[in-house]
Amino acid sequence: MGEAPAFFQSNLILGIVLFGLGTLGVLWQRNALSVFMCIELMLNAANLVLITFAQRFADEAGGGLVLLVISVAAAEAGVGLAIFVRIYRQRATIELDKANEMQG
Amino acid sequence: MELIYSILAVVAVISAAFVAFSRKAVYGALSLVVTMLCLAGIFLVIQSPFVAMIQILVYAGAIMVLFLYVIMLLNPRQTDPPAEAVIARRGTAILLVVFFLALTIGFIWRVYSALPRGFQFKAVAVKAIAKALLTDYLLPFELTSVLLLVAIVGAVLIAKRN
Repeated sequence: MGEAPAFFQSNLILGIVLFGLGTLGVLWQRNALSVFMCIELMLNAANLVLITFAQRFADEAGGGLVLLVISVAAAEAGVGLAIFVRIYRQRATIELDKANEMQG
Repeated sequence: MELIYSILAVVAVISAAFVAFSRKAVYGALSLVVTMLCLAGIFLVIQSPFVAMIQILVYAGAIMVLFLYVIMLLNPRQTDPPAEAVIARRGTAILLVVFFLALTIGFIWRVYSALPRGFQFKAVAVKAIAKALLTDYLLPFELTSVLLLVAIVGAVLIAKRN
């Protein structure tokens, strides 16, 4: 794997591009589910950069840290989607622009 | 190896763009699965098979199935054509993200140019990860199970009908 340094650099650039696309999507979309998926995309990009640096410094704990990050993401997805179900039941929509008041 | 990497990276970016801009949530979810599978392939290329498998099992498997269930349950309608306020917001979003990307690329470039050249990605054995998780990082590892339990109970409580 003599070409590995190229992968290091390109992984960082790929992580930045994916994170930027996720940020843009969060601001772009109006459907709460799509916004949530863009947040997952940003988490994935962060994971990519994290594991790339862990590999770069030959740190075995990096894989374990990514495992913990993914479990936290799973917990967050479960609670977030439950909240969306609840919002949909109260307002019959999950468009973020139309769910802009508390205590509806 | 470089050809495989390039294909995976290009497909990941294209499907990520679909996630960010698709009008229908189902298409976004399916594109997100493609992005995650491509990232799993990239994890294999940089010699971390454990993370690749976790990515496929937990992310592309469990979390995305959850997303698809909720999308089917809620059936979000295709959004109307955007109002003027939304268009203005999107313009601002593009400006902000370009600014953010310029900042991040500059920062990463400084970090990268400070690092010594000439290293190789070494394969990380699953054994080493397990050892780290079950000795040095035992407390965070166990706390994760508590977090998952709390999340399960919380999700059930929130989604429950009164």
